[in-house]
Amino acid sequence: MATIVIDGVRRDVNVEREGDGYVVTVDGRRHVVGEVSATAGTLAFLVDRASHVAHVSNGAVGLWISLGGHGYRVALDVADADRPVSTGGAGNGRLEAPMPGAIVAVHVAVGDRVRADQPVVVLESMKMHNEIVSPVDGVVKRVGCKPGEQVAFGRVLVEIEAGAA
Amino acid sequence: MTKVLVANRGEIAVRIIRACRELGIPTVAVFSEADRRSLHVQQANEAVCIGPPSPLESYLNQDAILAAARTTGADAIHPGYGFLAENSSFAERVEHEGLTFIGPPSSAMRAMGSKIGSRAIMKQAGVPIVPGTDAGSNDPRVIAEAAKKIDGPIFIKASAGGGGKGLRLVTDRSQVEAAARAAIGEAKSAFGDDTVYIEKRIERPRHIEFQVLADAHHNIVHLFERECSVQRRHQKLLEESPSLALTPALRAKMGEAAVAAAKAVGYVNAGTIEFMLDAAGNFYFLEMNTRIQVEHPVTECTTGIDLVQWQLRIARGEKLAFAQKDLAQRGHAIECRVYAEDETKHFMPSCGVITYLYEPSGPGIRNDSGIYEGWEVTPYYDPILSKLVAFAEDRETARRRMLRALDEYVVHGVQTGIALHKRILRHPAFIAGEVTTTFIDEHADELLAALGASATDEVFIAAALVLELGVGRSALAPGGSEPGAVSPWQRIGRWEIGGAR
Repeated sequence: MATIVIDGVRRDVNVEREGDGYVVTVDGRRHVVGEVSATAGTLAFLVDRASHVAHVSNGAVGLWISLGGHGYRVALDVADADRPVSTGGAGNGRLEAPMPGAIVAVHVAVGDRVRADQPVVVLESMKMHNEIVSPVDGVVKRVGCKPGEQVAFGRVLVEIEAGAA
Repeated sequence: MTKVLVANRGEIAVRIIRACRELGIPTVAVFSEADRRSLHVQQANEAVCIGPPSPLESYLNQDAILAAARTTGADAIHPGYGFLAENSSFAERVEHEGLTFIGPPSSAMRAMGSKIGSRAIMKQAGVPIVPGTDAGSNDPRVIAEAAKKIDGPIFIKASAGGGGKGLRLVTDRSQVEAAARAAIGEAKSAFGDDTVYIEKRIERPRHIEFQVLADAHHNIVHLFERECSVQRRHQKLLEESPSLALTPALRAKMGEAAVAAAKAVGYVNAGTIEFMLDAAGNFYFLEMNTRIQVEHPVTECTTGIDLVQWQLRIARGEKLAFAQKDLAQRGHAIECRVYAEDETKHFMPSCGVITYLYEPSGPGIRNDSGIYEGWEVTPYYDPILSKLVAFAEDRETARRRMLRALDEYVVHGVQTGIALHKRILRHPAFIAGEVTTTFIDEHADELLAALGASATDEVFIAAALVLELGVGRSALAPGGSEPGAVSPWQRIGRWEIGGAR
C-alpha cells in the first residue's frame, strides 16, 4: 500500500498480481487490470475492456507519465512532496532563477514591502526580458543578485518573508 | 546553386535542408557549441561549428558564417528566420562575396528593415499605416515628449524590432519614460539598434498578414492571408488560414495592397506584409517581414505551393510557374507553435533534456520539428520545439483534427504549451472565430489557470504499474531500476505526481 498524490488528489493505492494480470485498488476501488504490455517507454493495459496507453519517462527532473493526452509529473523525493515540482521554485517567498541568464534589473532592496505579482527582478534569457514577480505579499529579507550578474539555474535571487508587515 | 549553407538552427534549419534535398542540392549546417547534437547538424550533408553558445558569437557571427561558406564551397546562404535573416549588411556581404543570398536584395531589406523608414515608403505608396511618430529616437525624454501628441494607449516599438522584443505598451502616461527606457535597452541587446518610435494602439485588432512571392523577372503574386491574432507577449502562438474576418472583397483589397507594398521596395523572393485589421474593417500596414515566416506552412497547405522550394528556385533565377489567377485557397489549415515554456509562469522558457518524445501523425497532420528524444533544450535560443499543422476541408474539421493530434503529442522533460493550445482550440470565442490580439489576455483566467487535468483512477493505475514493473525510459529499465532489486513498489512511501500538463 502506498499513498500517491497527483495534483492535490491523494489516493491509497495497492497492486497485487492475479493470474496473468493485476488487481489495483485505488482508495478501496478494485480494478482488474489485464493485457499489460510494457516496453522501454510505453505501458499499455486494459481496465475491464477499456484500452489505455501511458507514456513513461524518467530523467533528471523525475518521472513523467502521459495518459489520455495529459502529462503528469512525478516527484519521487518525499521531502519535496509539498513543494511545487515545476521549475520556478517560488514556494514560500524564495525566488529562484527559473533558468540561467543575466540580471537586467533588481527592483527591490532589503526591507521593502512587496505585493504578490509585483515584479522584483528582470532576468534576460533567450534574448527576452523576463519579469520575476513576487509569489506572496511580504517583506524582502535578502537580495541575492545584482544587475549585470550572470546567474545559474536555481540561484536564489530574492527572499521574501510572506505576510510580514 | 550547387551547395546551400543554412545559417540557422532548429526546426527552420531542418525545413530548409529538407527543401534542398528535395531539389537535389547538398547542404551545409552551421552550429554553435551548444548545438553539437542538434537535429539540423545530423540532417545536413556537412556541418561546421561556428562558435560558442552565445548567438552573438555564433549564429550572428557573420565572419564565422562566411568563413564556413568558403571552407565548404557553398555558393548560396539561406538565413531562415531570426538571427541574420533581416540583417541587410549581412545580405550585402554575402552578395559582395559573390554568393547568392536566398532572400530579397539587401536594398529591399534595408528599406523594410527600419520600421520608421518602411512606414514612410508605405505612406508614399498609398498603403494605410497606423497613426504614430514619423521620426525615432534613442532618448527616453524625446519619446515621452512625442507621446504627448498622441491620444490613448500607445506602443513604443524598436525601429529594428520584431518578435515582441523592444516593445512596450503604455496605458499609464506617467510610465512613458520608464517604458521607453526599457524598450531602448531591450532593442539594443536584441538588435544592436536602440532607435524606438511610437504607434497608437489599435483597439482589439486582428493581426492579418499576406504572403507574397516575387521572382527576379518582375512577376509578383500574393498567396492570401494568414490569421495570426492568437498571441502571447506579442508573439504569435497559433495561426490559421483563411481568416474568418475577411470577405472576398476585403481579401482582394488587402492582397492588392500587399503586392503594392512589395513592389514599392523592388521586392524579390518570399516576404510577408503584416496588417492590423480593426473591428470596422479598416486595415493598416504594420511591417514587412523580408524572410520566410515561422507560420509559412499554413499557406503551403492551403495554396499547395512549397514556399521554401520557391525561395531556392527564385534565388537561382527561375520564373514563377504561376500567376495570380492560378492561385486559390483550398481547405483550412491551423498551426500551433509548440514552445518549451510554462504558460502558468508568465511563459517562462523551460530547459532540460527531452526524455520522451512521441510525435503526432495521421491524415492532414504535419509537424515541422527540430527536436528528438534525448536532445537538450538550452537557454540560449528561442525555445520553439515544433510547429504542428492540421489541414482539413473546413475550419471545424481542422480544429478537431488539431485537438486529436495534440492529444497524441507527448513531450517529457520540459514544460510545453500543448495544454494551452488545447484550451485555446476548445474556447467558445476561438470556435466562433472571435479572435483578436487580446484574446489570451481577455480569457487569461480560463486559458492560463494551472488547471491540471484531474487524475482519474486510470492514472493512478498507470503510476502504480510503473513502479511495479519499473517501466520508463532512461534511468528505469524494464524489470526494475537495479539488478536483483526488490520491486520499487515495496520500498516506496509517499510520493507525488504534480505540475500537470
